[in-house]
Amino acid sequence: MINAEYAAALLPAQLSRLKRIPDKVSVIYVGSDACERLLPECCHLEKIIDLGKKPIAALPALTDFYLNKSCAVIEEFLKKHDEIEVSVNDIGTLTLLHNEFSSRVKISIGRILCYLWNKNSIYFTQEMSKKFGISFFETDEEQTASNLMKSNLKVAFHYPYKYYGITRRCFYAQDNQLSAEKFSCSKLCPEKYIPLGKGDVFLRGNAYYSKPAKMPELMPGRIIIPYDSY
Amino acid sequence: MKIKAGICSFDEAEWFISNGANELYFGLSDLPSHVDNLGENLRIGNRHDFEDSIKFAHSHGCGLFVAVNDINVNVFGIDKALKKMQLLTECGIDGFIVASPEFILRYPKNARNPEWHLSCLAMCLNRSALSFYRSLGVKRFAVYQSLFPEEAISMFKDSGMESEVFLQADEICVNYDGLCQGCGGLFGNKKFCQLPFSMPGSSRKFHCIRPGLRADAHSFYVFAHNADWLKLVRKSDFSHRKQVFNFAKELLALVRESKDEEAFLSMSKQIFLDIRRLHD
Repeated sequence: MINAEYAAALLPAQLSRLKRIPDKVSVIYVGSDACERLLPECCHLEKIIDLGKKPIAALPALTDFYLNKSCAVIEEFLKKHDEIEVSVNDIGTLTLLHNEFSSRVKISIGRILCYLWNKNSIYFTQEMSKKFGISFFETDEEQTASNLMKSNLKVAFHYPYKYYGITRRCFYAQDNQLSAEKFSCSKLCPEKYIPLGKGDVFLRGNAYYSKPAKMPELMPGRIIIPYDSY
Repeated sequence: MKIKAGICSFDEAEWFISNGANELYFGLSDLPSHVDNLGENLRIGNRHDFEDSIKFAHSHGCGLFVAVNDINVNVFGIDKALKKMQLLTECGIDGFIVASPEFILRYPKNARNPEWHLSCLAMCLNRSALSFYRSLGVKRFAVYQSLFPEEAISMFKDSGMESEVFLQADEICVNYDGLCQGCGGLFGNKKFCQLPFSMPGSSRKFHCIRPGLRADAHSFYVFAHNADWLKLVRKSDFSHRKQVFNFAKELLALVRESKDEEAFLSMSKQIFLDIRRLHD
């Protein structure tokens, strides 16, 4: 039986206050798959290496401004390191990283992009996997995970929160929609999963989640758990 | 800026063409389309009627496009959908609005080539994504609905593709459209994003905010100067869409007449208010 690799998912601001990491965690995702204002920086990736863990830059779907910023971070990181794994959530980020950095960037398909691709046939997903040399497909859907694994594609499973929706109108920066400079996301954006309504849905930053995701029958290659949930 | 209107019947097509629409689009019940569940797909009587309608549209210089933009091709079966699309192309349909690149990649190479338009549901947020789709042969992209004009502006310059935007005042999804599970589901028929929430320990109500009238007007002004097409949705009744179509024409006329954005904002306020009232 293959043991799953355990990953912790952290926002950049959480990393700076990090005290301890569970021993079983070998990989750390830093960034956000939902908000482009919470991008990882090179110092965050370096810090994870200093902690003795493997860093993965988690990127959400990116508009041009933030895509350029992300590329600059990866370029800076690759000046000192041979390779990096990046979790991407839109086709533009995927193709740009592939074209710019080739095999030095290992691509993991983030759960948002995976959710989109999963609506295509499995042949499409397999083709894209071959074309871009995808390391992992991230998902929080049991059925999707099973289908991907049956097709010999490697799965990283998000647990226990299941993606529900993402807004592009931030709750917390409503008065400063376009000015990240005026709104300190790292200080004011909540890190906790806040139960809403009757507790069916959780809000974290600009994304909604439901709980719990159901683990697939087959063991995925990687399990991604928010740091606070360990 | 030209206008592309969504239709649900050929009677509607005649009205929109007679009133100046430059292009029309619709869904068909046997092709995967985003608004299937709303019952707004076009019902075609027979192939003869269909071909006559295409001839009528073309004789008025109006293009006809079919939305195949539900990304869940697994449910419909892509092979079946592709056969139907090929048949429609042979009948004279100008092209398809797709969200999934798989349709383009697997469309028979020896068949008559349709024009491919990218649905906003493809979640195209940056120039790199546009390059990818352009390389597949996509001619036009729809700007992702919830992008602010300032975020989208970089995509218009030298993209090598035509662009279209929705009239955001009439239709905007504040969530990632096509990726939100909030409509229906846990919250029944209510739109999840329109429900207010309180945080634990706080009486403050949170909810997704809609852009205000001024933001609607600003978006329209910027997009009218940068995008090629204004797209009007088909998710409402015909009388609503007729009114929105007329408002859209008035707004475009105001953009042409206004000496600057401030003048447009001032002159267009009542129209945006009227559009909003259509939803009340």
